[in-house]
Amino acid sequence: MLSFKNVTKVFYKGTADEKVALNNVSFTINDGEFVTIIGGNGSGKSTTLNVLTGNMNPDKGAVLLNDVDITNMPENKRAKYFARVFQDTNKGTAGSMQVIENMAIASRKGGHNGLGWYINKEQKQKYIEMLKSFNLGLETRLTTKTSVLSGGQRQALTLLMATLRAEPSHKQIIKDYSTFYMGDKEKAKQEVTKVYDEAKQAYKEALKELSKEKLSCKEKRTKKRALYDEFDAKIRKYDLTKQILLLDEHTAALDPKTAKKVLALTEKIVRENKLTTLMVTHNMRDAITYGDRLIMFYEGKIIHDISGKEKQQLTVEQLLNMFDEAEAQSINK
Amino acid sequence: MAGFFNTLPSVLDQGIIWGIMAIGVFITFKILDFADLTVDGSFATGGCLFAILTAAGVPVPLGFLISFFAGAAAGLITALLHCYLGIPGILAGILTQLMLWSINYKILGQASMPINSRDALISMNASSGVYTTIPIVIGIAAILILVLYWFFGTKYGSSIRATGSNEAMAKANGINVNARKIIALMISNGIVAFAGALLARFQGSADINMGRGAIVIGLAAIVIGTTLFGRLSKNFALNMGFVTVGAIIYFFVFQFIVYVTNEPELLKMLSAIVVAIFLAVPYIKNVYIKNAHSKHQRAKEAK
Repeated sequence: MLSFKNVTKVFYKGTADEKVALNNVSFTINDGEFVTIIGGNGSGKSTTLNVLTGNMNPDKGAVLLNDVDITNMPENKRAKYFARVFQDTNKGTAGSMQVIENMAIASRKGGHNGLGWYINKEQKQKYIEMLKSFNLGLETRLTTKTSVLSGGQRQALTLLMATLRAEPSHKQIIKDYSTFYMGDKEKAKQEVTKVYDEAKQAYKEALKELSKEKLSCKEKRTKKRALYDEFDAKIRKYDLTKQILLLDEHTAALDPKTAKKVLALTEKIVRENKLTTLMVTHNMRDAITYGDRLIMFYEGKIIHDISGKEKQQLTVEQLLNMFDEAEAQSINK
Repeated sequence: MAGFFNTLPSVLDQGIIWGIMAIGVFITFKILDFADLTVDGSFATGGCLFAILTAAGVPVPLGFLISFFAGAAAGLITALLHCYLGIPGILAGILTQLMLWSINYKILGQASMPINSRDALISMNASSGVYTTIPIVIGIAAILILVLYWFFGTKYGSSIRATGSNEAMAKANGINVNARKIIALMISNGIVAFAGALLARFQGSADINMGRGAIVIGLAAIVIGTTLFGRLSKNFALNMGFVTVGAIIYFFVFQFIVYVTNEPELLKMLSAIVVAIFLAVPYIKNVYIKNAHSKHQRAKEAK
């Protein structure tokens, strides 16, 4: 769950150019929701994403992840909770680096950057499979620098990269669970620690048993691996920090045909990974076609929040009427 | 012409040492995309510190190591000015460079100082026969390139490259870009200071002005190396090698001009012209020659 609580952001405060980008905005987005955000220029859509990711600090109000205030968490620390795709197709990848290097960097989001070689065979194979499954023609261009790819290819690659992250360590999972669990955090901590201790104990005992058995080295190794995976899976169930996908007009710079392809890919990735998604767009048709919920911004405020059946039946005319209404109201003021 | 050819071995030495410095510049200029003017100061810091340390009887390798860390400290100052005090990169470098001029004078206690060391470990005095030093400096450059190739291929190293390539992307992927800039500037200036110490050792003297124009030489080496050989390979290690070769070419051209004109006072102007020419080559190729070529093609097709 992700929420804004009375967030206000003013640009050029105290000058003639003062601009209220967000005016006391509150909303809550539930896990797994695919939300489209629509609004005119300067209505506060992009500022919302920037405040979410920590790129900008709000003047007032708070950003909550589950029920934890993350308003003051620095951008690079927050990165593991958010995956972003920008409008500028050059912004999502490191242009002077290879496709595979970019993917490797994305796969360490929230993890450590040690002095080991940047990729190993296993990972490389995984990335190739991933690229193949998305049919982008990139699996044969692993060592191509992303700056020479087409805008659509770069955007698609950025989307793929957005789904990658470093698998959190057990310690991290326990810490996150006791921080982000909604409800009695002390109890949650006890619970997850207990599960961890028991699983570890069971794993150790199983290893002991295994060492007594008379097996070949290779068999032992596979069994050991299986035991560890079992242990690991028990802990992973408690991993609360799924990434939230933030799309900032990510198809606005593409030609209509490519935009359609990238949007289809977006839909596929979001549904397959059950990602909580916020998609900012200018395109009303896209805002209606995609997502389960639509939020409309006007001059720094949310003026409509439509979901469920109402959202499914929404038409472009209705949306246009809503805009006109809002405009008429603001002029009458 | 014989006089010219006799100087070539020492020019080669000098070229490689400045090539090592250029590798330091390569890290900031090419990898981090940061024009770091600290190097004029940190190069001299390395030389001056090395001179004073050898005079005090410190072993040569330790002298090199301390010079490296002094340069890294200079890089740290620039990085802190830039990352935490919001000073634009070029200005941060100039400020540190200015500070270093005073610091270098304090280190040396005088404007220049001869080095008289009989330490045999790395015998690199011009009078002891320059031919023996060539394999040593080549070896040092090769080891440095290999170490850097490894480093920038690691997870940490590739996060530095991402920072230089696209800061927004680096941040969005959880990379602490300030930390990366600090480390890269420290490594770069450490290498530059190490090259300064090498040059002091090679020349047998250190001078507080020995770093003047170092950034220009570094950029020249990068531009010459990558313009002439860049298309041969995109390999990272080879590109650092090209930069070193670029520095060698730069010094050969230089030596030739001095030999022909016999007016060393003109050197600074000439070096600026050489750099301008090499920097202009890619632009001229793109804008004038290609355009003229396509114009020609269009005219042909029209017929």
